[in-house]
Order: sequence, then C-alpha cells, then structure tokens
Amino acid sequence: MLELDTYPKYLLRNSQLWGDKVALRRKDFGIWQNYTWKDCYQQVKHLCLGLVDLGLKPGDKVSLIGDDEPEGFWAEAAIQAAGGVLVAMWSDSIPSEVAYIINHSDSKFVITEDQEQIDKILEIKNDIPKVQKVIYWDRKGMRKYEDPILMSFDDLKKIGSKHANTHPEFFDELVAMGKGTDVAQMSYTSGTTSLPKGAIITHNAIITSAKRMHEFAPLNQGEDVITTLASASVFHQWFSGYSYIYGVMINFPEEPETLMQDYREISPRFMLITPRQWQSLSSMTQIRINDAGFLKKFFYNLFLPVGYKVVDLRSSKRKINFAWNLLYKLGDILVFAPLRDKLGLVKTKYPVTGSAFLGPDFFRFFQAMGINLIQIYGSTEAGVVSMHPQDDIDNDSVGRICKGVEIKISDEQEILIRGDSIFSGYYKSPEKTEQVIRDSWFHTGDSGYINEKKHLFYLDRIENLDELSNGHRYAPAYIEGKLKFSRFIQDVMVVGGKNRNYLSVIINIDFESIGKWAETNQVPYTTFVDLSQKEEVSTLLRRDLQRVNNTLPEGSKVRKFVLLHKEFDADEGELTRTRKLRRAFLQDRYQDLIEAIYGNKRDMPVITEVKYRDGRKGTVETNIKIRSVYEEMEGIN
Amino acid sequence: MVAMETGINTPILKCENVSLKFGGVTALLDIGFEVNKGEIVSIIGPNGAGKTCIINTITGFYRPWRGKVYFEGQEITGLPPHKVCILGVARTFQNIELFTGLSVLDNLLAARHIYVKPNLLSCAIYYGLAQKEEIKERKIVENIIDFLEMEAIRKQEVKILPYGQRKRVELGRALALEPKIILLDEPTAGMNLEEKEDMVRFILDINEERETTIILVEHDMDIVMDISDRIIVFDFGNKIAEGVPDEIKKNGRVIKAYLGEK
Repeated sequence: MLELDTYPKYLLRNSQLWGDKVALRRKDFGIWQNYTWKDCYQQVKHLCLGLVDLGLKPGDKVSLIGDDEPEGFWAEAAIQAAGGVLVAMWSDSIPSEVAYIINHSDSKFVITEDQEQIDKILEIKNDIPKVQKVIYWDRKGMRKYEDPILMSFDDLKKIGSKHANTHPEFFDELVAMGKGTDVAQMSYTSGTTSLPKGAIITHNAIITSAKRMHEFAPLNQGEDVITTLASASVFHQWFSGYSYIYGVMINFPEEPETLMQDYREISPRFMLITPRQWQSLSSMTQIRINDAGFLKKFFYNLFLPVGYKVVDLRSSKRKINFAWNLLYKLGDILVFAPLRDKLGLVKTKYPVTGSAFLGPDFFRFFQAMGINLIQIYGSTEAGVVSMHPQDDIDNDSVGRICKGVEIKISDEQEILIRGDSIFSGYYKSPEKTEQVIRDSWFHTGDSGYINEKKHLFYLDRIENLDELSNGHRYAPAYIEGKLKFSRFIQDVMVVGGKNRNYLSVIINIDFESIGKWAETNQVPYTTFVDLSQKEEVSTLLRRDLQRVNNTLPEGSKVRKFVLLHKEFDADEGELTRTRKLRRAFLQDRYQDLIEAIYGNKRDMPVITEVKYRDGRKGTVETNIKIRSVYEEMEGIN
Repeated sequence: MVAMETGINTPILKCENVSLKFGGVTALLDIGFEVNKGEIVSIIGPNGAGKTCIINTITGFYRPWRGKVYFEGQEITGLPPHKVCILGVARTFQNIELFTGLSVLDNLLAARHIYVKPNLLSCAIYYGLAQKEEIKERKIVENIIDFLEMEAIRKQEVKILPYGQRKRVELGRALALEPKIILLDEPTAGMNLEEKEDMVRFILDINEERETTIILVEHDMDIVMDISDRIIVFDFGNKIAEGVPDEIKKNGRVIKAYLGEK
C-alpha cells in the first residue's frame, strides 16, 4: 500500500475502495448529476496523461483560472498527479494580473473555463511567451476561435485516453512517484501594496491542514458539503481534503448566481464562507423579513429579542430559567427553524467563518437564530492554526489551537507558527521569505495571545499595536471593538501610550439606547450632556467595562473612563467619513482631558467649540466626570 | 444581392410586393426582399417606418392588402399566427408578451405546446407516456435555460423579473419553438450596456450554434452594423435601401431619412 501523502494517491485509493460510490455532484440542467470515484479517476487519468503527452514534466507549473466546477477539481488533481505544480487564480482577476502570475510562475500551460477567460488570455497572449497550450472546458461560444494555442478538454482527454490504451499502468506509476515533500501548489497572495507573491506549498502542508480541520469538524464518508471557495483560495485546497481523505461528497452549484437555491437543496454539513458572505446572509434575512407578510414579521420581531436574551444569558454563563427556555423553543419552531431552512442551514453542523474580521453583532444575530458560528484561523503561509471545536466555542477567540501546531507568542506579541503546515517560501523571492521565516518560525504579522484553555486570541496586525510605559503592548482597535459590542456605547477611544502606565477610555454614549434605558428606569434627564454625566449611566457602563476587562490580558485592562459630553463627529474632523477614529487629531483635541485623567483629577470643566451644520459656531460648557472602572479604587489614585 | 450571386444559399423567406393599409393609411407599400438561410438581416428605419408592421405581416398578425409572403417556398400569406409558428417562424415582441403569473420554466414549457401531443387517457394516468413526454420537453427547455444563462431565475415568476431578464425569457420562449427563423423586434431596447452585450452574444450564438436565421429590428446602430450580414432600410412604408453594412452607411437616402435634408 502506498503511503498516502498526496491527493492523487488518495484518489487512487478511493477509486479502489469506493469505486461506485458518489464522489461529487454538480447541478446541471436543473438536476444534481452524480460522479462516482471511478468517474473522477477516469477524468483525472485522461487529463493527466494528456498533459504529460503535451510535455508536462514533474515540477512544471500549470495555471488554472475559472469558476469552481468539477472540471477544475479534476484538473487540479491531474496537474498534481503528473508531478506538476498548480497555480490557481481568481476568476475575476484582470488581464494584467493574470499575465503577471502566469509569467512569474513560469507556467507552461493554462487551464481555463470558458470564452470569457479565453478572451482574457488571448488579450495577453503576446505577454506570456512561455505558455504552450491554453486548455478550456466549456465549449460554448468557442466555435469561431481558431488560435492554435487553444485546445478543448475533450481533445486533451482524447490524447490522454490514447496514451492510457498504450500504457495502461503509466498513470498509477506516475502517481506513485509523487512525494509529500513535492510542491503541490503555488498560491499567489493578493498584494494590495506590492506585487503578488507566490507561496510555495507542499502536499504535506496541505494534507496536514486538511487533517487539522477534520479533527475539530469531523465529517463522514457520504456527507454533503458545497464548494463556494474559488480554487485560488488556499481554503479550497484544505477543503478538498474532506473529499480525498474522508470521502465527503462535494456539491458544485449550478452557477454562482444560483448558490442560495443550491444551498437550500443540499444544506451542507460544513459551510465555510467569508465574513462578508455571512454579513450579506444576515442583511438579506432582515430585508426579506421586512418584505414579508404581517404575521411573519410579527413573530420575527417577537422572538428575535428572545433569541438575543437567551444568547446573552448563555454567554454570560448565567442560568436560563424554564420560561426563557420554553419561549426560545417556541421561537425556534415558529421562526428560527424556518429561517435556517431558507438559508440552507438545516443540516449544517459546522457553520464556519474565517480569514477576516466578523463583527460581534453578526455572531449574536446568528446565535440567536440557533446558528453557532465557528471560527477558523489560518493563512496561505501558515496553514490551519486554530479552530473552534463544536463543544468549545468562544466568540472572543479565533479557536482552539490544533494538535501538532507549534506556536509561540514573541516578545513583540507576534504569533509565530512552526510545523508541517507552513509554506516553504515565496517563489523566486528568497529575501521576502527570509523576512517572514526566521529560525524555521513563520512570522504571521498578527498579534495575539493564548489563554489557559489553549484558545488563540487575535488582536490586530502587529503594526497597529501600541505600548505602555511599562512595556506592555496592547491593541487599541481590538479593545475598542469589544467595547462597541455593548449597545450603550456609540463610539470609544482607548488612551494610553508610552508615557502612561495604564489604559483609559473616552466613551460616546449611545444616546438612543441609554435614553430608552433611562426612561424605563426612571432616570430623569434633559440633554445629551446631562444624560452622559448621570451617576446611574456610569454605573451602567462600568458593568460593560468590567465585563470586557475580564476577557483582556492583565496589562490591557481599562482603569479609567470618561463619558464624553458629545459624540465624535465627522463634520468636526474627529472621525473619517467611514466613521473611523482619527486618533492623532482626537489625542490632540482632548489633550487637556487626557492630562486630567492621568493627573488623577475627579472632574474637569470643558468648553468645546461646536460647529453647527449651517456653519455657525457656538460653545458648550460642562463639567466632565472622570471615573474609575472599579469603584473601590475611586479616590485611591 | 450577395447570396444570389454566390448561389449557395436559397431564400428561406421571401416577401413580394407586400402592401398593408389601415383604412386610408398605407403602412407598407410594395415591399419586396429575400432572406437567405443562416443570415442575420437587420431592418432599420425611423419611427413609424413600418418595421414592426412587416414583422406582424410575416408572422400572420396582419393580413397584407396586396402581395405575398413565402416561407421555404411555401406561401404563408394570411395564415393565422399559430399556423405560421408551427412551420418554424418564431418572434419576440417589442413590448414583452409573457405569462406574467407563470415561472420562467413554465413560460418556456408553454411554448412547447406545438410539439406536445396530449391524449386524454395518457395525461389522466400521467405515469408512463405523459411523464416521459414531460421529461423530454423539460430537457429541451433546460437546454435553452442553460444556453441563455437563466438558471438562477428558472423558478421565478416572470412578473418579479426586471425588464432585461424578461427580454431574455422572451427570447427563450421563441427558441423553445425550435424555429428555423426568428424575428426579433427590438431585443435590446431599454437595456444597459452590459445587458446589450449579453443579448448580442446570444443572438450570435443562436445564429451560429443553433443555425437559425435571424431578422432583427433594432435601433442601436452599433449593434446593427456590427452583427448584420445585410441591412434593409425602411422609410414611410417604403424600402429605400438594402445592402451590406458598409454600403448602407454611405447610402445618401438612408442618411437623409435619418438626419433630414441639408
């Protein structure tokens, strides 16, 4: 028996083990069409031998560009079976980008989907002299293309099957020659500031990551998943492991536009989509509800707060009493379960998000609907690092560290990774490789920390960190983000820096929700200014601050806070138009207030200039109170 | 005429001295032209020139006052629309005419009625013959859905679709008739650039891959000049010019009809 260290070897095994079982499905002409492992084996075999016949040698690069379809899936395996290196690209890449990657990777062949992509390739044909053939799988609209560089999948497979007839054992031998240490793929990271870099990834690295993912989110042979990730995404390669290693059935949607309907029909067991996609699912739900009939809207508005309440009780680890439980059950039957059905999440065991930040509001929203989002942390270069096991979800962390990951936090609080899953270097760029791999540790550029339960917490990119006078490094945006989770806080700025030895925050109260709270709790107030300085309000916010403090490392805990008499305003230059803090400006503007906080004053009179919308200027005078987060400390410092 | 000189193509459609009158108004006067198999022929002209009238006359919606229409050598003058359509002449309408309460799929299936031979007994039993027939028709319709990239709207009611997509459904319904010739009445009117590009690509694909002759009434001159094999120009019910795009661009009478006298 072969050592199973490449996906093509698994393919061989599966065609013997599960030959007539369904390996993947695609929706075509409105019907889910099945392909067995034997079918896949045949496809890959003929494609692979066709490529070999055209001159593909081990180590040669082949670019792949197209939507996620079974043909692409087979092409990936065919390239790797021949010992070639897959260079996958986003299907919406612009021609110049495509040309750069094809050239930089020294691709000998390009495999692509359809007329749209072909037009792109032909446009840059003169810039990519090293490419010998461009092979496409969708013939639609291709009748009049006569460029000799083009070849259809069918023609390639014909060459391959001829080859297979004369050398029946050759394909299996070729696969057996592959080694886990061979390069499987080069993944080009999208460079927002510089040119894309090609990360070299071995079969070992991919398979290690795939196994880690399976460890925390196990699925069995024959269970369904839907592929939604373009092959250029490294997640896609890990995802393929479910299919090759564990025989999970991959479903390919009919068209990118039909995804929602296809979701509903399949209801995948494991659903990994990007934070953006989760966001759009959430807003789509809300929009649809608004368009829905009276009764549906009524029940939704009735039970969503129940969902939120139960989620809050659960996350603060308080007991959920019988009445709430009963209400929630009722809500689940009437609202949440039907919603999950519409979203195609009925059978979903692992709703996963990763690769970017998803706001806490969304987590709460989905949890209220009974969808417990799991986070995964990993990257092209690092592989899968951490993930939430089903029974140990912590919304603040990015998951529990997977087995076999060597991880440490550097003195600069940077997350460093070592082990089988990390990449081998950037193609043709040793100096960039040296920047990130030092002493065999991969420097992620992310800052974070690990808690005693082996959960990894992501703070921010390392360059966004700030430092206190005692040398403690903290992530202002991270702390602010957590505080903004409270519905009573509209905006907040963390104050600290090299000259101070603890953190303070300047808070803008959320006038609407605190106003409502004041009314129900019979706290009289007149204006924003008045409300912000009320003793009861600061008690209310103290609770939020203490809650957040409990999740922060010791040195990052907030000690003092100020409830500002006004909101930060973009018209006054305090925020950008996208409502991001302009820190330097704010530090300068509220310098006196900050001095007062650290000068241990109890309050401070302020006169601020206010610019009205019609251009007039006025002044506001108030006494702002400076408070401690922990009351017992009040007056001590 | 190009095709006649080469002598390879035979005219699939022929109009001879077609005249159409509404009371005292002469809508068409002695119109005569031929369309060869596999061609894309555009009919252009200012508003009220009689473009839609000639399409309505060919497809049997209007009965000409004088003159004859031949399709594949057979006279079809005055045949009612449903008989013309069975012969293999399909059309789309300027102001979309679909069953708005039905799904896209059902609209296309409804167009297949000319091929379905229902029988009371088999339909009552359903399983067996009727089911087999339905599967066969569904396959054909699914092919069209795939061809026109309508998968995402397959099961949506037509009334909730935006204008551009309805135009596409109309085209799909015309294709469901498996016609030999399609008459398209302003298929890109009111569309944005991207929708227009899609539609043009579909028209070319229909012409090439489904080997269907196309008569196109269109106002967008870029499209007309780009994809037509020949162009016929109408003005006030008269045919004032006919030829390949380059000839038409230079034709003095055409310029006059569009831009007026100097």
